[in-house]
Amino acid sequence: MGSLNNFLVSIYHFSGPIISTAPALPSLPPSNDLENSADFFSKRDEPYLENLVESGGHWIVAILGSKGHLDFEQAREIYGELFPNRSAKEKHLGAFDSLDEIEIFMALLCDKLQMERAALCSVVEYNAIIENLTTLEINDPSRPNLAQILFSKTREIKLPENSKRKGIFGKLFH
Amino acid sequence: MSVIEAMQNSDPACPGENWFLYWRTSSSLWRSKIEKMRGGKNIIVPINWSFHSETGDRVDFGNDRPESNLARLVEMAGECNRTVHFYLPVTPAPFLQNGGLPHLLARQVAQGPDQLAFAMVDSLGQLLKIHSFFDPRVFQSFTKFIGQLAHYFTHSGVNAKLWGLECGYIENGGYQSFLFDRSKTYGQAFTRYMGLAKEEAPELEKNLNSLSFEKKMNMRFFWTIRDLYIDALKKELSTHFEGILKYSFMGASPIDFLDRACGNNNFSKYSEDMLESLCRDVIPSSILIPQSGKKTIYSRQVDELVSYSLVSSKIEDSYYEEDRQSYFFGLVFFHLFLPDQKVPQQSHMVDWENPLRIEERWMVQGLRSFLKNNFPYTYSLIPIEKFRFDETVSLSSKVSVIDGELVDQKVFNNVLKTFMSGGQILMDRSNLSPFFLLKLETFFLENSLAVEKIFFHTNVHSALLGDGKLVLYEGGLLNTKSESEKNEFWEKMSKFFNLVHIKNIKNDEVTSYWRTRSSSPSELNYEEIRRLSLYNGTSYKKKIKLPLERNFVLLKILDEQNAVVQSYPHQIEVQLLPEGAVSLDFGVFSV
Repeated sequence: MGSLNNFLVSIYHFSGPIISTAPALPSLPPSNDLENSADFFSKRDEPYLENLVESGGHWIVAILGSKGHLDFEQAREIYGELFPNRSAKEKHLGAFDSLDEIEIFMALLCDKLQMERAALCSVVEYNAIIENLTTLEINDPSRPNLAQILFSKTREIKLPENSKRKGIFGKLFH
Repeated sequence: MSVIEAMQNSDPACPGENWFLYWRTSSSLWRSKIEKMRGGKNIIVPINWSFHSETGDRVDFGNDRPESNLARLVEMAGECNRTVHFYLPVTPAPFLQNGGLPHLLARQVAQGPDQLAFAMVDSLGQLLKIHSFFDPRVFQSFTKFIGQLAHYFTHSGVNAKLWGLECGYIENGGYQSFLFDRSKTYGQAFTRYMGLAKEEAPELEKNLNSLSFEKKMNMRFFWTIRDLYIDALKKELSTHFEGILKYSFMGASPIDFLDRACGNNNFSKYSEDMLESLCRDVIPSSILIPQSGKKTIYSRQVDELVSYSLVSSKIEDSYYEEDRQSYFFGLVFFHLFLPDQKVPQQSHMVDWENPLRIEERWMVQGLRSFLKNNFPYTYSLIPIEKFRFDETVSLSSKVSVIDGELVDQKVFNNVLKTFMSGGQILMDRSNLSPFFLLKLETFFLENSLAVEKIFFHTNVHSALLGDGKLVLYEGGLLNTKSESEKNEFWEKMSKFFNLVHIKNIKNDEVTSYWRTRSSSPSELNYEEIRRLSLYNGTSYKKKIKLPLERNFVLLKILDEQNAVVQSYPHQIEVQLLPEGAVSLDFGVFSV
């Protein structure tokens, strides 16, 4: 277990059915309409900021590699390519309509980061693992660290083989 | 490093910053360990509730175990010429097993804002879990414990100061308390709270389906419980109680846990979190980071910026005016005012769905990145409740940044008083209510103040009255501009307020921090003395160039460590080798 290094674990939560009641963005005044634009901005309720509030669906809370958490920067880029019509500015990564979508996303991410394996771990599973964990031997390289423990106890995603990935991903984007 | 220093450095009872964790060592070793502590005469001793009581009922203060004898500890410290300051956690504490709860009370692991179970790794590499403080049995046992502690202190003649300790962490630039919880225990407690609220005010029934209302009530419930713990402490231990200290612990955030549990420490993040804590008047602590693993430069930062200065200023008795000349405090140019989260009912305008809304606006407007690049950590983030007119403070050297959404009658009155007394106010008028907008316009007319109106990436209205400057800008319009336009706007604003500062420390990887103190009688040529501390935590050599502005004179170069400083007529060049650090003192005067 201590030698398992080339993997990702995605910790996600489900925040309920997707509700499409987020207010539509108002159309902005033409950029050369300066006289009216100030008035416009002072009167409206800034709905574009409310997109920062999570709506339904599955959300990735954190992605872990063997050395710790992954910064979301690259992950957001991939999310943006996969779902160009969805906003990717929230604190968590999402929304994903289903676990299948998360799996496709993780496959893309693994491809980009040259990771061989990936697993999905729900927040419920994560919390149960933490509650049952009594020790963590972080100073002993022969013992599993947290990422390795999570990987071993959660559902591994079946990633397409390397040679097949380009074809599948090519179809996704075209 | 000597053998003794190395041993000291890895002593589990002495995790640094002059903290003494008495339960981690035999009482027969207390004296020798206290004598070896090097951080000054004040010793911080957190009280470990779970060590004195396993069940939450029976308590031991030395009858069963000598290591529980706090009176003996205080006496011994006094014999070593040290002063004990007790810290009693009023929230879960990340450096204690179960967050400090006795074993039988630790029933439900708390969940943080991401719904992840709160867990952390301490300085010994041990896994610790935070348990919920929202269980009524926990509160009942807590009040019983502190009653017994008060009785013990009185009857044992313990004469030591006691501080309530609020524990939290910095994440995404904001402070989060460990009291926060979203576990099942919290859910049950909140449901009971809502039930009681409905009984008292049946009209609340109609709001129950509103997410916004629920979030508001969550906030109110959180502060109610927080205050319950603090008020219980104040009541039972009134003789010893000195106040509440708010701490943030480096390496304790959920993200830090994910890293540390995989064997990684992100020292540059800890450094940023530490400085962000200072901007929020929160004391940062590194006691969770193993001493042996701490990079030298990080330890030095903690010692210089926190242990030897900030903590001392908080816990020592008030001192005479002349003593202030020996203390450096964080240099602040901008006071950024935040919603007072504790009192949601006072402001109808504040959006309680998202208490960080105002901070996010500043982020979107480019203010935070401008400050980070040009005035790093020379700002303070303060609840609007603390915005008041203070004639004893020099108003012209700071800018108060206020979002119009926060303006009520009290704030409005203080804005005008501050402005009329020479203060500088920068206000985003986008969310200022029409009522106060009209009052402002009336104020300008009645006082015959000329209001200059310009457009520079957004609408800007400014008025001057003596030294006072009041600037209103349309933040909403600024949101739509490019990053460079936003930067130009803030650059212009900072020049308008004539902030006297040395900027252009353009090196992201070198940590810099400015502090200030009053000039001493031998330094009367200068209005103040400013100290710039530079730290290079990278593995590469770094060069910093500081333009020597005309208001500044380089007075002293201190504590060079792997650093070379060259001073030229108009510039100072600092070369920092890996793990290099240096401090520079400047005399500042008006031209």
